[in-house]
Amino acid sequence: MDRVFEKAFMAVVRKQVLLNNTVTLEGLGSFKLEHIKQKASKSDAGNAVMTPPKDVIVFKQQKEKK
Amino acid sequence: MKITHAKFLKLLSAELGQDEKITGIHLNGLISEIINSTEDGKPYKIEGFGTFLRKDGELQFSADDRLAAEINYNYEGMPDIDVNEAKSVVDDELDETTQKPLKKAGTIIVDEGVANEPDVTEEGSAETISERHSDTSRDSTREEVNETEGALQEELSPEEDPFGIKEDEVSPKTSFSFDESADENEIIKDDGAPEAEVEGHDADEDVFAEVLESDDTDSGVKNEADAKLDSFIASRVSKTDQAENVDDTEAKPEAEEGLTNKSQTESEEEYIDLDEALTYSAESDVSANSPSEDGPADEEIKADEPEHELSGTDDSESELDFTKMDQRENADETTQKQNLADAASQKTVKKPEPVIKVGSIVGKKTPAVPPVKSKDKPADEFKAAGVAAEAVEGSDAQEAAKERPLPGDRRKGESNFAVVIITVAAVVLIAAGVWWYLGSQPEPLPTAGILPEAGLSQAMLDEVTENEDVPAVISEPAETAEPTQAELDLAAATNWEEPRPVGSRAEASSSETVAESQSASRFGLRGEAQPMEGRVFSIVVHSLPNRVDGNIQCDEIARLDLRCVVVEARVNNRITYRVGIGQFETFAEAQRQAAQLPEPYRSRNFPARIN
Repeated sequence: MDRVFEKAFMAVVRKQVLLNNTVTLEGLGSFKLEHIKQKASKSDAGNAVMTPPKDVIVFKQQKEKK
Repeated sequence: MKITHAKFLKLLSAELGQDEKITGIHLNGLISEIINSTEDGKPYKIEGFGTFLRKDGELQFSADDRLAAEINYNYEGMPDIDVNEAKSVVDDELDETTQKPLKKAGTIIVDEGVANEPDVTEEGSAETISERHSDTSRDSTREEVNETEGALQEELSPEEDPFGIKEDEVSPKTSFSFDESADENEIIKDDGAPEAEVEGHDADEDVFAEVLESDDTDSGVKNEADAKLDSFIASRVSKTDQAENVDDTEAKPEAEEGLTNKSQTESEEEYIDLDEALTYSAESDVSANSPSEDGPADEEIKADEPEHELSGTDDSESELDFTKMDQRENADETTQKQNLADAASQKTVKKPEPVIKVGSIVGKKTPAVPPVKSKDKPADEFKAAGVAAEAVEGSDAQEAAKERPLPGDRRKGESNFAVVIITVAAVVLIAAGVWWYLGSQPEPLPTAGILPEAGLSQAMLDEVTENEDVPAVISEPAETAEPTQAELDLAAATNWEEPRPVGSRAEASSSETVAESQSASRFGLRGEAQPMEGRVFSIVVHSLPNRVDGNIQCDEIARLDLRCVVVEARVNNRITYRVGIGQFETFAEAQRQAAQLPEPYRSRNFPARIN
């Protein structure tokens, strides 16, 4: 695949994901941004630990058509 | 919002600048390649985007780290936080949360490296500066105190003692005791002599009364009276010798000291007074001794004597009368010189520098010892002494007076006891006056310094009256008085000059209140960002790879009337710029304020310590 085309594909997907848009590609799946909230948990030592939130890109495979 | 395939194709064709069909062909070819590659079990990796991987029959995507960071720009570089530790830190180190201003203001860019650098505006630096300043000021204060002490030592000279204690303590004999004794002598002069003096005086008067009475009676009585008179004169002469010996030993150093300080006027006055008195006594000596000599003076005296002799009853007793007359004249002379010595001693006491008078008297008394001893001799020897006095007559009456003892000085040994009593009484009066004076003073500090000093002075005055060692006494109270006064001035200087690092409780509480109010005003969700140091928490809403993006986001936050800070942080050797909202003293406060933020910050934030 042409490297230029890959860079353009990557840029468009990243930009739309950053805009919190879901990009759906037929035959492949969809990319979307998912926000993971902060959460409190306990460490192995038993201390309460606060995990910071996180924004991640999530890919979901397209369901095969029957 | 969803981006469909068609729409994505348009965006991609726009990105590539190609036609949509061509872009569609290329896009479909990419998707087929990813699927075919993953179906073969091979991962398909797009550089900078991620890796497609089929796992358990399901196609999965693992984003590249760079893409993940860009997507997670809001919270990039945030580690997990131990809540207990954060709270304990905040609770335990609450004092450290007192924020210090930084150089930067407004929308601040806080750099941890910069924040760790020592700042001249830091409290520690300020303290150091102030401490240095205080050290220098203390040094200068010490110098000033030393100067003040020196000045005070100069001021502590007996002449300028405000309380009049030092002078009295130091030289009770030179000034104080003599003044008091002068007063006492004046009192004695006015009210009469003390008991011993009165008794002695009465005895004298009795003897003289008998002698005078014997002049008017027969010769037998006269002989008895003469015998009494001789014995009286002999006893008085012996007493006078003893008194002179004592007085000479006491008065010699005083005479030496007094001669150096003697003023010409006083000495002249003294000499004039003494000259008058001694001249009179010399004349009486001449008149008393003249009958045994021939010459015009004798004739004159003899011409005067008949009046005296006319009182006699028998001419055959003329020689005896002469002897009697001599003795009587000697008695009169003794009385007159006693009065003269009393006057001299009174003058000596009255003057502030009594040594001068004593010295002058001593100088006149010293050659008077042989004539005194001559009084124990028979009458013919007494006459010979009168011849010697006559020879002196032509030269100087004062020198003739020097040869006569000063019987009044015998009282000095007796008056020492009175002087001691008077001194003690005066000290008590002065102590009472000092106590009254100090009691009227509002400041307790000088009282504490001076009261024991007064007690010391009294003890030392007693010691002085016993030892009469003036120079040794002078140094001791000076040494004991100086530190006390110096301490007072040191305390005063310290109170004046020294800054108050410790401060009173009220001052500390007021300063703490001000600091709390200032620190409270520096923290908050809204308003302008304050430059701070130490532990500061904020609601982080962005974490961007460059400062420009951070400032852009911060400007958007500022438009919402929220306080925004941009903090630079280094995570895994990569610099990120965190955009936070508000500045809070504790993590809990930041967490509580995060719930009041508008969307999207309310749902997407992370309270964290920014420095």
